[in-house]
Amino acid sequence: MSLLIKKISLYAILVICTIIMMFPIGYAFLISFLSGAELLQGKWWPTTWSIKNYVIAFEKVPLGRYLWNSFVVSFIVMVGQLVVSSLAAFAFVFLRFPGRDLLFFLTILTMLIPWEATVIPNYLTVQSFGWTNNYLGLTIPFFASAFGIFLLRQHFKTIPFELYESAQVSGMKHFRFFWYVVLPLSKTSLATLGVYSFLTTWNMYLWPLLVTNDESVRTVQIGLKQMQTQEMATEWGVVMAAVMIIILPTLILIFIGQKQLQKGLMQGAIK
Amino acid sequence: MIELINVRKSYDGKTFVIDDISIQIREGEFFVLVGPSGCGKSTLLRMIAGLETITEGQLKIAGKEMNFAHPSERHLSMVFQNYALYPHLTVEENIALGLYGKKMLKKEKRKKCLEVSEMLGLTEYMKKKPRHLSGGQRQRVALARAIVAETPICLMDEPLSNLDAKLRSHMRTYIRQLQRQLGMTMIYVTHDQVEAMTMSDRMMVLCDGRIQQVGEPLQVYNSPSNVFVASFIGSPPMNMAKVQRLYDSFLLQHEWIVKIAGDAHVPNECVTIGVRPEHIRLAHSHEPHVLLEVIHVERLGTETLVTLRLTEHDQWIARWHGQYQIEVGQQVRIAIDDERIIFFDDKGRRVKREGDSYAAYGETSY
Repeated sequence: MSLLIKKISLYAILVICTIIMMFPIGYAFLISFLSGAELLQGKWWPTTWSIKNYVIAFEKVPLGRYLWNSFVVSFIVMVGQLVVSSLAAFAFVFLRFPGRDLLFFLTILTMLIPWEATVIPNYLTVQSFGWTNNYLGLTIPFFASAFGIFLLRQHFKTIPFELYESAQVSGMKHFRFFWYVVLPLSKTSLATLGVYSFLTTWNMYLWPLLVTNDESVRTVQIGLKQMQTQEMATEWGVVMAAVMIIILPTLILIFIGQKQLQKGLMQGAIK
Repeated sequence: MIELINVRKSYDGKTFVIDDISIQIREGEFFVLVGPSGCGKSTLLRMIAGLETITEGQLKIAGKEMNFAHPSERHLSMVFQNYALYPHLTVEENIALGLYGKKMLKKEKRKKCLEVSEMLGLTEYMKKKPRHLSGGQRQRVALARAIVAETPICLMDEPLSNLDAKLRSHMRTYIRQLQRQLGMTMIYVTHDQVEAMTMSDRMMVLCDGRIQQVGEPLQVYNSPSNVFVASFIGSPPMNMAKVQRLYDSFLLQHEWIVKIAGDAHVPNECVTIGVRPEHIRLAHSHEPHVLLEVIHVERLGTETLVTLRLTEHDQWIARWHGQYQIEVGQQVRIAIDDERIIFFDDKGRRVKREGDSYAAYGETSY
C-alpha cells in the first residue's frame, strides 16, 4: 500500500515538474496559431487552427536562409569539434610525452574562463583574419573545446591500454590504431559530443550577432531577434511560429539522441 | 637467442626495479620468469617487448642490439594477461591483426588464419565477437593471434591467471605442446610456481628486481640457491628453522639434534636449515626421533598434509603419501634423514655441499 502511495506521489511530482517545464513551449505552440486580434483579446486557445503565422514568418525574414545557415554552422562546428577533440584526447591518453598532464590540466583550466570574457579578443582575432561575416568566423573559433577533449579523454581511458600495446607490437601506426580501434570503441561518447556541440552551436546568440552583418550567413537565433524589433508592435503569433520552427531540430535531436546523451554524459562523470 | 647484459630499469633514477640482470635465453627454449607480484618480472618482459625503455645495459635479439628498436621491429608476438582482444572485431579479424603489416596477399592471410584457428579449435567461432566467448576461448584467440605470424619469439604475461583452476591446468599442457610443436622461443611470466615448475625448460626466479636463481625446474627445486627460492618454489613451501651449532651437529629448539651428513662441509655461520615437506617422515620403531604435536591435518586422498608444532611460533608441514588416521592434538614420532637437510648461512644463501653440482647464488652459471 505504502509502495503505491510512494509511486503515486513520485509520479505526481514528475507530472507537475513536466507541466512547469513544458508550459513555455506549450504556450508558445498555442500562440503560434493565434491571430494578432485574438492575442490582444487575451485568448490562449485558438478558435481556428490556421498556419497563417507560419507562412508570414517565412515571408517577413528569410527564415529558410537562416535555418540553412544555422544548420551549416552547427554541422561544421560539430564535425570540427569531433575531429579536434578526439585527436587531442587520443594524444592525452595514448601518447607519452613530457608535460602531457600539465598540458591537459591547462586545457581543463580553460573551462573555468567564462566564454563571454574572451569574446572581445576572439572578435579582434577573427576580424584581423578577415573572417567576419562568413562561415569561417562563425565556426573555427569553436573547434577546440575543453569539454569535448575532457569527455573523450575520459572515455578513451576506459579502453584497456594493452590494446594499444598490442597494436604497437604488431606494428600498427598511431593513426591506424586511432581510426580502427579507438573511434569504433567510443561511439557513444562521440555521439554524445556530436549532439551536444550541435545543440550548443544551434542555440548560440552572442557570437553570431557580433560577427554577422547580413542574411547571407546570419543564423536563426539572430533572425528571431530581428523579428521582434522590426516593427513597433511585435507580432507575437508570428514570432512564436518562428520559435516553433527553430526548436524543432533541437527537439528531434534530443528525442533521437536522448539515450545516447544520458549514457555518454554519465560515463564521462563516473569514470 | 635473446641476450640481456647487465640490464637495469629505474623510473626515478635512484631505485632500480630491475637490477643488473644478465641472461641468455636459448632458441626454442621455454623460459619462465617467476616471482612474487611486484618483483619486476612483467617489467622485464615488457622491456624485452619494447614497451618499457631500458635504463642501462644491453638487450640483444638474434645477436643484434635492440635497446631502442620499435616493438614491431623485434619480430616477436605477445599475449597479454587480459588477452587484449579488440572487442569490436570478430575472432577472425582479431586473429588477422596478428598478421598486420606483413607483406602477404589477403588470400594467404585468410588461409593462415584458418590454419591457426583449426589448430586451436576456433573455426566455429570465427564470426563471433570476443564478448560472446568464454574465458578459455578468448585465451585461445589471443594465442592464435600471437602464433599466426610465426614470429620466432613469443612473450606471455601471466596468460592463465584469469582462468579457473581446471582450465588452467589444461592450458598449461596445451601451451607447452604448442610451443614444442612450433619450436618458438617462449618467455613466459607467472607468479605461480606450479606453472614455472611444470612448463619451463629453464626458469628464472626473481625477487625485488634481482635474479635469485636460474635453472631447470628440478635443479631449482632440489637445490634452491637461497632462502627465498626455497620458500617460493614448492607447495607447501620448504620448512625452515633457525638452528644453533654444537660441535659437528646442530641444535634445533634445544633437544633435536641434526647431524651433518658425512660428506657435507658446513661452515660455522650456518643459521637456518630447510627441509622439504615430503622429507619429513614418521620414524621407524628403533630410530632416534622427536615427538611433535599435530595441529592440523589436510587429507587430499593421494596424500596427507600434516601441520606440526615445532616451537611456539614455528610450524612445519609434512607431506606423506597415502591416507593416514591422525587426529589433531596427537603426538607423532618424526625423523628426517640427515642428507635431506639443506643449510643456509646468515645471509640466507645455501651452503654448498661437497659434490653439489649446482652452485649457490652468485656463482650460478647462465
